[in-house]
Amino acid sequence: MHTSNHRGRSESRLASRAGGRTAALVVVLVACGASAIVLCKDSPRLVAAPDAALSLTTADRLAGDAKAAPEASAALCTRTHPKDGGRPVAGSPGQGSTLALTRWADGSTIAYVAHEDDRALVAVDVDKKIVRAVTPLDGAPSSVLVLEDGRVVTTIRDKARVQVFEPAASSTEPLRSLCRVTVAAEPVALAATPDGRTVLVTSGWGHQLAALDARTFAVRLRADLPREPRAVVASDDGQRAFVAHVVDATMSVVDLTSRSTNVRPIDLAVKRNQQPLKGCQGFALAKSVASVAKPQGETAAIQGSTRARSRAAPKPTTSAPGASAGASASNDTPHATTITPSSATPTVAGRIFAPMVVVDVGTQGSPGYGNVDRGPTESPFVGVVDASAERSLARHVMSDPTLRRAECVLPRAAAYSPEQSALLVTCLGSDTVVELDARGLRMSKLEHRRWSVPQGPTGIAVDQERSRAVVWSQFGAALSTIALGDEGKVASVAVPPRNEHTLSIKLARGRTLFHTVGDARLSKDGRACASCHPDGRDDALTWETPDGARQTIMLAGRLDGTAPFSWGGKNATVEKHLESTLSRLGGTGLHDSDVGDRDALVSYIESLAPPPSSSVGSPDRVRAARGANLFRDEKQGCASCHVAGGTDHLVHSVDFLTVGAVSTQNFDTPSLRFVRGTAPYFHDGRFATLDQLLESPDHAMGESLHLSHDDRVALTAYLETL
Amino acid sequence: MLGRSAGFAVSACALVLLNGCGSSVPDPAVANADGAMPPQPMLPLPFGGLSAAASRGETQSLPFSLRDVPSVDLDASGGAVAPRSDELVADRTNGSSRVFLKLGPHTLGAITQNASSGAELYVSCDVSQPGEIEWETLTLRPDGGATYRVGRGERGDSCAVRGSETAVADALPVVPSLVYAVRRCHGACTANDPLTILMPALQAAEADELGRALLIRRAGLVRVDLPMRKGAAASFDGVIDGSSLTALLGRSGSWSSPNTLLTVGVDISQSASEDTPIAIAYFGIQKVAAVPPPEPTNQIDFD
Repeated sequence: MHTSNHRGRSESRLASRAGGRTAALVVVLVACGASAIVLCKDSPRLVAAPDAALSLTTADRLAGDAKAAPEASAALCTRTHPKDGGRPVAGSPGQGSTLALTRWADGSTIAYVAHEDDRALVAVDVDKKIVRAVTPLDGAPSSVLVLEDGRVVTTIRDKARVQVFEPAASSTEPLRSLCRVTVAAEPVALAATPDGRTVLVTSGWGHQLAALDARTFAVRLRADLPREPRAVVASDDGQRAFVAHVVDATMSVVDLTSRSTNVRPIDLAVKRNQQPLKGCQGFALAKSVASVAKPQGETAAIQGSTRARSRAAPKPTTSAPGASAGASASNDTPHATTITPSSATPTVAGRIFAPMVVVDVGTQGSPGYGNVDRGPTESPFVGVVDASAERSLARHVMSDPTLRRAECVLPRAAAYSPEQSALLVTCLGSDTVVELDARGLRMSKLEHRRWSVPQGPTGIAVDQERSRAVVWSQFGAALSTIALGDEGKVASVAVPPRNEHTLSIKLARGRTLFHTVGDARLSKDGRACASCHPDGRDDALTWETPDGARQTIMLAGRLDGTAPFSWGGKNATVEKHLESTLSRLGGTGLHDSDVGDRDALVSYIESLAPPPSSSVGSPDRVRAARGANLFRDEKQGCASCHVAGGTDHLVHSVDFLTVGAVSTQNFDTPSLRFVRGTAPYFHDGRFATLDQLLESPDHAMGESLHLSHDDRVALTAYLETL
Repeated sequence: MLGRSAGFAVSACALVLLNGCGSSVPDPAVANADGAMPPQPMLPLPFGGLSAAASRGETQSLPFSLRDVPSVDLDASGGAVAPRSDELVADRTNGSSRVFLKLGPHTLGAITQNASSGAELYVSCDVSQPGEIEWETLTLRPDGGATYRVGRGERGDSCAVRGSETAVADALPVVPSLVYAVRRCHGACTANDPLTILMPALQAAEADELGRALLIRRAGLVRVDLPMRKGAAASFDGVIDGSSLTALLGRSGSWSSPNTLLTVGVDISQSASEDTPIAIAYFGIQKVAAVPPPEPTNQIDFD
């Protein structure tokens, strides 16, 4: 716990600074000695006797997961019954989602669903709307991809693993496991190169791309990526991988052919009225693909029209009004007219679409998190990237003061439909699928149609031959089919989880509320909790607030035993902090009349699972152990506040430089758990890396300026184990 | 991998050719030389179908093909059409001499001298050196189309214009009655020649100062040249208030309120994998909340 001696030393340092000296202000993170990892007395995670070399928890992380599965071998990962099962539907872009479509010899269409809540791969007959088989897993699947030979690949998000299956002769039988591969923490997305030889896997928390040999599933390449990678697509020539990121308006390009890892960024940042905007929510990607010829006998679902070279007014492609959120799952689309792309207008090619949101973080003196009074702080946007040139084509957004409450500000999956020249995007929070004209650069304005689907749409796949899209709704546990022709009808089938995996009513409600867009109780501009806390973490943005610039704090894994809450430590409970946050967002709040929803939301927030770990990319044990000693050493002072890497639950006055002058503000000691994945750092996000924070003289948290480069590296290595 | 192109996005109106800005309510009539007001044929509303949907708050996408965009050869000798003798009118009043571009009904236009960046409805003859002048007009037709004319000539010392030549093209109605497209090229158009977007002025024109009202008061023509090349993209947005458009078209509709903004935009883009650029226009209607009246500042005194 924090001691009076350390406080006295801090005060004397502050006093000397008040004298106007320009001496460097040093950040100190006192290295926690291995023998002194004593957590706060009210923490449930007390570990280690005083003389233990390292806490058990830390030791486990450093030693790696002893239960890691053996690497796959060629003998294990190839098909044993190659003729059994279905194949990917024609025109599939080789990109995984939470569902993948296959066509079987009898003409049936089977969707394999990565049912995360049920911890299973579920085979659903799309046409008959029945569940055919369930393949239980020992973890939560986050993505599924079907390879050309029919093998079914899935990522097990909480086990840092990719698992490979093959179908049986009948779709009513569960899949047969072939092999498994360990990858970096939290594998979330899959793709295959067009030649079928390489499978790409992105790991979110592990911030890595792995390229696996599709035959043996041996790891060919691992590339370190910026924070929170998600969707991945392969270039048409199979030589590069494009990766979306949840945070920052950026896309990563990974060279798959060079021997050395080569990762390049593509800037997706845009401007509105010449003002730069931030970006986030980059969960999804889709790439333009060519149309496939329809089988003989299939009626064409889309009419083409030739634009006459005359002075007559052109026939527009008019759009349907946005359906209000909450419409029934079997809605039709009033006022809709068929999308009739002229045969004379060229179709897009070589483009990658990146649904995201653009963010106005506000100006100094903003009343809340951003200027909530001035209109939407977050607006949907689709980045358009020229894949060959590796640059963004869409660089600005239109001004639109209209405040709409059903905007797609939580995009989660996307698919391109060449027949309509349209991009289909699933929108969490509004529980809709929107169809956007993919020929525009301000695609979010060109919404042609919108369909309501069951809660929580997280995956989508296009079946070109049957002119439909299939959507998986995770929260509602339902699979929906959307006819992309004139009718535009939606039909859904329930795929409930098995009893033992059913989420409690309270948590299910809390999850829904956490992701709800357009609830006036939560925010004035329609934002959801998940807008700033995607997957319960943080958006890496720094917002203007009445207290000044404040970076979003990660929630998942950071709440238990870390009260009080907020940067200033003003809120003793999560419930109090929620009330304060909703007020800052301009929401009307969840009051006693909404006690059920309030309790559900708090329960869900408190239940958010911490990021998983993996043996891949384990830190250097020796270096981290040395860093632990530095952390604990009183000379640095880290552990005096960040007790055992956590918090002393106290509010401290901290000096820091801002605009050349010293400011002093009170901050609650934040927990450092999972700090390796929460860049940038400091209350105003001024430090991009931990090393920058440790070597900066701009603030008075502990003493680290005297540390050598090697010491800072060791200290950082330790911090990254927390 | 292709070399990086210098594509850019134009986020606001560019190359605006206006004869001035103002907020006065326009008089759509055009007086004859003797001051009589001829009957004004009203334009029907080809975008009526569009506006119905747009009024519901939808932004509509209107893709168009570059192959459909007509070209105007700026170097055409003698012009495709003989220049009209009444297009340019010399005026010498109040001690200044100017050449005015005379605009007919439903016609927008602008004139420049010596390739100046600004554009008005007149050029000064008081400049000592004779100058090369260029003018362009866009005449909206009832069928929603428009005729685009580009004229060139040389202004002499006495405001006389010599050797004028004109090129004419049917501009492609990208958003009928609102946005038109042509390609202005020197000779045959190449793949890299820009796409020219033409539309009415973003704001109302000032009332003309001539007593005889030789000019349409709202006569501003907006021209935006969007570059086209592989790996590049350009965008343009514009806003016209409903009352301004009403004055231009000579007809009112659901958009006629000054609190109604008609938003238009054009995107042109071409990835390295695409043989031809992808072009698409936007059209939408926004209702802007009326500005509340200011608080009264006077005090009421009671006896």
